[in-house]
Amino acid sequence: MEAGIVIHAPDTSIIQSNDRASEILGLSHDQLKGKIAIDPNWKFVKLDNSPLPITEYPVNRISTSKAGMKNQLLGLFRPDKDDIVWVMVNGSPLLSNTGDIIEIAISFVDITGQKQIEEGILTAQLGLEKSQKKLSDLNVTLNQAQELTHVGSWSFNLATQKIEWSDEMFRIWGFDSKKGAPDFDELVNRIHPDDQDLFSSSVDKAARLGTPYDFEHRICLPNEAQKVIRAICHPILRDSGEVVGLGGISQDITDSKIAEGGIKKSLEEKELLLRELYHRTKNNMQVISSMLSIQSQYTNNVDVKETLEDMKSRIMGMALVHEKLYQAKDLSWIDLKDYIIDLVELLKGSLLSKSSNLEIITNLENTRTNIDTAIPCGIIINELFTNAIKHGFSDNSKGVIKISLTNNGDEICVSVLDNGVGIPTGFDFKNHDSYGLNSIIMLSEHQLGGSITLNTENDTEFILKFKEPLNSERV
Amino acid sequence: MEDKKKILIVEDEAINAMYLGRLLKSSGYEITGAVATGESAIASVEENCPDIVLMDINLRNSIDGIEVTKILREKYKFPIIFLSGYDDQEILSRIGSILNTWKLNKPIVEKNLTDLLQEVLANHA
Repeated sequence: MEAGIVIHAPDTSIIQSNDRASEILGLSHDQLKGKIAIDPNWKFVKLDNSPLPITEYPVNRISTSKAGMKNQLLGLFRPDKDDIVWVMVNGSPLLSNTGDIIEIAISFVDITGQKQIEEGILTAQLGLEKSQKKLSDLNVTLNQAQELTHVGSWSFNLATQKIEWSDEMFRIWGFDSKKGAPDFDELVNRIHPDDQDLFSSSVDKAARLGTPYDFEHRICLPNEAQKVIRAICHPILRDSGEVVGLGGISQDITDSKIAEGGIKKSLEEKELLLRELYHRTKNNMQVISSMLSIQSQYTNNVDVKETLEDMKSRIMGMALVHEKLYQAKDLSWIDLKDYIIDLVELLKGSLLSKSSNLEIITNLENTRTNIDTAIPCGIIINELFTNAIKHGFSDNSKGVIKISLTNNGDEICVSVLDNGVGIPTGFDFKNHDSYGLNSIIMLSEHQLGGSITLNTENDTEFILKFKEPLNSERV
Repeated sequence: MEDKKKILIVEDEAINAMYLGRLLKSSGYEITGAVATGESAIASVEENCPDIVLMDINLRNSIDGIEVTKILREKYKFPIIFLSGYDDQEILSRIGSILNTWKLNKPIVEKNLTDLLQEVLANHA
């Protein structure tokens, strides 16, 4: 690198310069000649761009000290180019025998390019420090977040076999963070023996085939405490599909598992209680039915016996709803079809003799109903079926009773039809004074909010129509 | 005249036991007893040697009817008809392994009970 050289007279004025000096300083030899150190057109600056005091100008320093100087870095403002050229300056005086300055030689090299590189490195270093600080802050925040949520994160580099654990991983698994992440065998040993195979095979599949996993397992800590962990792993793959590493989390879900267990137990207890309630209600109804049967045995009055038997049949129809609810999965809904099948069997058993010639046909669609619908519906079918047998057919006469249940999603329709003797013309069933018919009308219209009609065109058919109320959850 | 067949009723609900007793008496059977617990059922069998037992499955403050039956089977072969409200799978599998037993669902339909008694006593007693 060629140096610029300037020779100063004892009064600091320039007496000679080379071409490189002229080039660096941006002045011709003529312009340089005679220029002195205190020339107001010189503008030297320090590395931080602040003005260099005149006393620190290289030539002035040598002039004052009469000694050489080395490697002074400074900037020189060039007005014609409106820029700063950075130079490294060396200089030495030529002294007479008496010690007086004869002349001062100053050499300088342009280090502008070098300085720019250094500045770039400096800026990059500052940026890096800032980024490192930011990363460190983020790491602290992440660690705090992991501690609060009991989620530890980890990564495994397949090529280097290097395992990295977050602080929370050490806390969850009970390992000392100062000793670093445990090896695979140590890790597996900490897992509950029943869960070790699942863990090992899942990790193996993730590492070999890139299969992610998400499962729960238990760990047994040295203090004999047990934790439940949710383990999630996402293999890191190249575009080619090759597995290069694994990354994942361990979440301590022990507390939520305990809470979940408590809620489950409480629900099971409530379900058990509700089932027991249905069971006892049904049993109590059976006892009432037995009471009526016994009472019936103490009288010879046929009307009284019949009334007691009718009451018994109605109560058993209601008991059957509780039996169905007891057996229902959700303890809330029963299928009206199943209920009617059992109800008809019950009624056949109590109303038809062995030698009966009646054919009972059922044509029923599955219809989900709750207790509020099933009970009145059962009582109505009970009355209609009983009436058909008692009034439609004389002893041993042949005939058919047909019970239908249809459900179009909006309306439920129940029909009880018989081809017995029929109902006398002009019979107004809605104004007939009997318990059975009055209760049918009240239950159909008042309780179910539906309608009951009688069709006597060919056979005798009662048609009940109603809607299952929406949002009628009871339990 | 043929001797009346003897029936023991094991039922913890007094009114149901009373109802069954009256029903079966009126159907021509002799009731050797109506008891509410497994222990008293075993004692009654020892004392009265019934031809058949009607056995409720759930008995309050007692071993259940199936356990009572297993104990009785160590010495006796007479038929036993279980009375139970539900076709519970567990109950059915427990009953299935015991010989000479039948099951009738509650609520009892009188005709079904008397028909079954007649058939079992005629062919299996």
